[in-house]
Amino acid sequence: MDLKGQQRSERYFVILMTAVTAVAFLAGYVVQDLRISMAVFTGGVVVGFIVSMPNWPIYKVDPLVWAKAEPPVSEHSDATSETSSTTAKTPRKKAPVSGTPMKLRSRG
Amino acid sequence: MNSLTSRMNTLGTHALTCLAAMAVVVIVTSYVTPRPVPETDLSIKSVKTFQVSWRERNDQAALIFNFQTDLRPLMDWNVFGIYASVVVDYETDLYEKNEIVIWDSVITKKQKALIKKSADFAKYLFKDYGHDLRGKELSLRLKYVIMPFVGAMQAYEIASNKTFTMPRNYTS
Repeated sequence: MDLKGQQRSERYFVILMTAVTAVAFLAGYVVQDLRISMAVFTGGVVVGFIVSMPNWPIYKVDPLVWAKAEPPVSEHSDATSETSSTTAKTPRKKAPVSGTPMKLRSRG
Repeated sequence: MNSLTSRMNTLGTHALTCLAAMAVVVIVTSYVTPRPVPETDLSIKSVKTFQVSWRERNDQAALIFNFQTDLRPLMDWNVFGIYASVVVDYETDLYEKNEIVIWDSVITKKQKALIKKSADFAKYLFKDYGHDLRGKELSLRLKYVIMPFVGAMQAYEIASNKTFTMPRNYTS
């Protein structure tokens, strides 16, 4: 599930549960039986879990785009400056390019 | 929300929040809705036996009473059950206030909330702590406690306007 999919799945669940709670209350109030309310509510929870808990394909349409890997910096290019003096400040590795996205783990 | 268990946690918490909100609305609804007062007819008809029990050495009587009440309008959607009891009140020289339960019942079904007893035995013997029952005037009350599914229990009582005077002497 990608980031936008996570947001969408939670939004679907919140909307569904708000509607289900209202419907459950009204149904129980009309029939004058609190068990009807609980049955409707439990059904709504089950449907909501089925809709927004598993990793359905509709939540995978916006995959995270990664920056391309940079070519590795070779060790021979600055080997001479390393041996000549220790005080010389030569960067051993290049600083990361700005704008690289933070690496988020994306399971599934 | 990035893994299945994390989603389960989030969604379950939100579902419980919704359930709590619904419970609060139900409590408010049943608090706002006025409760009807059941029509009650309650009186003691006669005394079947009236004697001194040989074991505890106190007065005891088997009462015959008329009791009619309709608790069905009280059984709305948020009522799990009603505990109803008939209480006899009287005054003695030693104690100012005496309350003796002579009948009680836990009603959880609407079909059983209509109570009709005419010239029927009281459920329990009417016992005094001493020997003070002869010639005493008794008054009656119907007490009922409503036990809701959600919300606080509420106790009500209805006093009967009919009194009964115990006989002057014990029956043999």
